[in-house]
Amino acid sequence: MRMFIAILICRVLHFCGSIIGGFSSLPGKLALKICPDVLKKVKLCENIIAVTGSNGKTSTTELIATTLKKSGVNAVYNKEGSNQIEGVTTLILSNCDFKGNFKPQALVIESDERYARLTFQYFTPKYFLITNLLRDQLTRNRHPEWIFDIIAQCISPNSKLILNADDPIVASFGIKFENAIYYTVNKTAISSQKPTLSYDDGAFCPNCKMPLQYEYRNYGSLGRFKCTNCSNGSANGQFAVTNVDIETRTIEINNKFQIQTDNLDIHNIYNLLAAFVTCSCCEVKQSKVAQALSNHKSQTGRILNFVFDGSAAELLISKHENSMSYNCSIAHVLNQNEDVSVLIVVDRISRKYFTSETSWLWDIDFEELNTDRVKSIILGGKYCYDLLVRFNSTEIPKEKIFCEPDFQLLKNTVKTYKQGKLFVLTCLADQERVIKELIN
Amino acid sequence: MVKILHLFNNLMNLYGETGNIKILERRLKAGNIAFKTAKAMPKDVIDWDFDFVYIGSGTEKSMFASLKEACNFTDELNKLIFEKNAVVLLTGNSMSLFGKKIVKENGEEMEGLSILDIETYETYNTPTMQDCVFDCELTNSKIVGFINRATKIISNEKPLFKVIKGVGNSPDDKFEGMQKNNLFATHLIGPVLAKNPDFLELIVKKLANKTKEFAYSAMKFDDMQKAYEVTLEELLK
Repeated sequence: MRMFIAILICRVLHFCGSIIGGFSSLPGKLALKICPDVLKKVKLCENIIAVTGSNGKTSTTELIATTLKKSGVNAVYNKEGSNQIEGVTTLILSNCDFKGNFKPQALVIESDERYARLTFQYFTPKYFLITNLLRDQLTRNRHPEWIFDIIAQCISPNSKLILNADDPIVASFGIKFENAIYYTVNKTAISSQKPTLSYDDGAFCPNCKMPLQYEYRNYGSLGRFKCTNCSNGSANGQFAVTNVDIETRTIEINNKFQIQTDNLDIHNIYNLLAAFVTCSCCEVKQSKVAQALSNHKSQTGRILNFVFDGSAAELLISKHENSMSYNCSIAHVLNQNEDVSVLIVVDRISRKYFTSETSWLWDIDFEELNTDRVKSIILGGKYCYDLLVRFNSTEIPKEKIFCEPDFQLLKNTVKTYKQGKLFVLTCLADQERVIKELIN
Repeated sequence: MVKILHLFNNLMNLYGETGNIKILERRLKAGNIAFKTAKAMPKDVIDWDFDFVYIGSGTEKSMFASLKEACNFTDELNKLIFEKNAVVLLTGNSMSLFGKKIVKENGEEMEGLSILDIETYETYNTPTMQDCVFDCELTNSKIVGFINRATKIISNEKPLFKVIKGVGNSPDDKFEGMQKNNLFATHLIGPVLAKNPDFLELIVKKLANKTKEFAYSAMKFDDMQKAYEVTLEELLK
């Protein structure tokens, strides 16, 4: 009876939410109050896929679900911002009939890395994909090794792990849990030898703390590595990106399957590969998966095109407190074949909690912006002076750097100093306000 | 020539802590003071002729790996700190290396370098992450920063800061950090010197006294000062 009421309330509220917008976690929250173990009581489908990790989980979850759908599998997934237990409950119950039968054939769950243990105490995913564990929101997450321990606690021996073999800390799950499926990106046109400038989380093995050796790197600590002491190393991935063709914008998997994509940024290649592997595990024909992934138009785009002062501009959503996310945006800016100006705004560090912690600015490779093509750098938001301290500690010429603490003057400041195409780097927490100020 | 050592730079660097070296270098450069920076990782050969030694914070595993390594040069560190009066800055959990012992949650004990009279007790499953404001007598100013720790520390040393907001060495301790000779230890993580211009000046002053190679004269940087004021205001709201 409690389950029935929980489902009823969840479905009604979810329906209202779909009309007026919002309500992704409230229905689930109420349902859990009414029937705390409702997730244990409902009859779920066999194909349950959990996606967790620091970066790329939202995009990868969406890629997996839409690819399954395109291949004829009725799949549902939780949209951004509802990756804790309440959001997952809303998703599940609003897709159940009143007897508690979950109707879709596949359930794809993006799970917050810290809350996975709550969600998966009630049911066991068949596949558990871990994309990467990087420095992310350390004010909540402590550090990647701490998150590793939390995730390890909630992995059931009945789940099959799908692991990014190129991330030393993710790969080390394979030491503890056997029979994992690994994926890797081979050395290609877009690989490099370089670790990040300010820190190198690939210097030492996360398992035994002895030095790691790299054959090559794709970004940060991700690449083909081997521990000099323990068994941690890029396992022979059953799935590998074997070629990246920049001209035809194609990536090739296992020398056979081709995926076309507009976005050859390395993190997108990892996302596409992870989605390919996961969908293949769900017994969809690989040629079909590749076809469905080709030219996928993301709904969770990290790039927002807009017009500023009559010319095209791009907003690159970069997560605050996540240096790798900013580094990816910087790489995107440096890939342009024209002069650019960069606006970086740090105003609210998080949407969800208060902190004034700006140490992460020192982990970002802002030094890379010291090129002729970057004509000016404008710093905005409450923490613009922290950004300024950071930039003044690089070799970037001072005359290229401008600081504007006043939001209302931001538009004029950008207009005055902008040369070439404008790129805005900021977080979801600040994005709306920045766009509003720049466009109005 | 001021000789700087960033010890275990890639092992104990949890959170933007190269910023402490970068900002010190910028300050020395601005004051026309010559310097030389060395970085040392485990197994590197170190000549131990330094005026300033910095160690940042690391994951628990990294801290234990560092402890194992640091045990090989306890004598050199003792000599630097107590005979040569080198300026030493420790941020985050690197202070635990210098204590008498570290006790894990399962009761396992590790011996520390015993340079500081402190004992560390791990609380791995109940960490503390908090924005902090401390009072600093040495600089006569407030210090801002962030603590990210999973330990409590019993200290018999002279504290470095007094807690205004956040946590001290242990949850019921109103004091934070330690000072001994020219060694300064705080559990704040990240670029503490970049966030606190007065604390940076204190380090430079101590370096002037230690090396006798330059006369200290105070400097103020507009960007650092403003960044500090914004954070202080936010934290005291």
